[in-house]
Amino acid sequence: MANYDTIYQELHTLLESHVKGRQTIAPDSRLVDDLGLDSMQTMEMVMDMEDRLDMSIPLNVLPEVQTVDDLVQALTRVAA
Amino acid sequence: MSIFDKFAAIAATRERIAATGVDPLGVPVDEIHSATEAVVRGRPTILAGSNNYLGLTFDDDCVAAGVAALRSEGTGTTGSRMANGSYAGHLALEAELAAFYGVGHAIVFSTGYQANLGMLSALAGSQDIVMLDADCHASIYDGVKLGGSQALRFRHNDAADLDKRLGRLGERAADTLVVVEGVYSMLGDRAPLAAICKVAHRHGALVYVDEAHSLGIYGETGSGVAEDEGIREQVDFIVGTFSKSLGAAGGYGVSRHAELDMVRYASRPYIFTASPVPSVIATTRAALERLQAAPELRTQLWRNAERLHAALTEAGFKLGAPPGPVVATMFDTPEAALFFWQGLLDQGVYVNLMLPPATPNGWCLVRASLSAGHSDAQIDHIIDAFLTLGRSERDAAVG
Repeated sequence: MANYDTIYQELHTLLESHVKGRQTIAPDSRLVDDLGLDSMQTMEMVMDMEDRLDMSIPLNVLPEVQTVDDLVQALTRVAA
Repeated sequence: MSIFDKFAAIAATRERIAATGVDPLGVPVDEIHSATEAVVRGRPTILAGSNNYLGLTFDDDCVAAGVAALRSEGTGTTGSRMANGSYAGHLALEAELAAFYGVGHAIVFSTGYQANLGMLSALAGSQDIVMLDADCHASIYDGVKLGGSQALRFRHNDAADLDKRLGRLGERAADTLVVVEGVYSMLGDRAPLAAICKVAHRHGALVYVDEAHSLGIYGETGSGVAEDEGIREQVDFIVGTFSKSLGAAGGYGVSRHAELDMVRYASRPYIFTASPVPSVIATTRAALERLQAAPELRTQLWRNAERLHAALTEAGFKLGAPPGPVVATMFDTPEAALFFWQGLLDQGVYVNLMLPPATPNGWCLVRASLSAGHSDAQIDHIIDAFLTLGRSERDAAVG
């Protein structure tokens, strides 16, 4: 099962391809306000993460997610 | 901190759009003259973005049926069917829809949005999984959310991707409802429904198809893409709307599964809302009869759609899908789409402007929808408007 560090690394790599400009991607980066992702892009990213981690990630985890760390923690719980 | 703070970003976007002098979000229709003609800001305008596919909103039989129902049954039902009972028209329309689809069961909802909300929230509960095509309509996402099921997505129109994701679920794939649309409203592209059904059923999943933009357009009798692909009996649930090809308002779900009747008792959007008003039920029944009795409407719609698609393709526009009643032109930036949309309106052609995040893949679209009610002269006018604007853009780019 993927742990927090593995998931964070995968997500960081993925975000680099999704995020326009030179924003720094950190655990406390907010997906919408700091990284400029919209709701569709966030859902696309979840689908990409499912493929990278070979697991199913329900969209239900998203409403509680604001930051990169929130998302990694949510994915870690799903993976557990 | 205020409950109004969340509107600040929306207000800023709204102001940015207003500053361009173009207002695509609140077009005032001063007068409506027919299925395809209106007066917009004092200018006679061809309606080419209203999803009025069969042009039945002013059909004599439909209007007469609505007027007669208003006179005989009044203006509304003043409550839900649970509380106030089912009118004869509700029951008759459900029987007619079931017969049209060749299934045993049908439910009518008060809007098309509520059809997806009501069906999906009742069918898929917290122990179930819903696998959505990524490009599904907001009403589908909202219905899944209301039901509290686990929502997963597969890549748009990609049966192989669906196969992979259902495979990941293992035995839980059998608790899964696969949800797709016959035709997707933004680009007008149709689902590879036979391939999707084959994959879903191999994994033991059920299939739910929204034919909102395909009813009256595809299939020998006009029931939609499932019929056109010869797999209607393989689809577990079909939903649709009365607000497009049938020119009214409301929605429906049909199924060969007797359990559909239980949805009535488990669906909050069905139980806790007023039932469809009698005049709307009456016009819908008349329109469904016209749809079946007048296949020439479908022929004319396709003729109009193919003319516009061919002309725009030849002129070099980038279109979102093969020929069909939705013709979506793709632009590189929101501004380009915005000014093209306004340019069409200035030439008396009303279409839809679709911008991210409402669109898949961040596309900027000027979306036309054709109607059987469009005359040859109106199609000529629409084509001329597109080509004139396209030439102006090219000249500006060169100049």
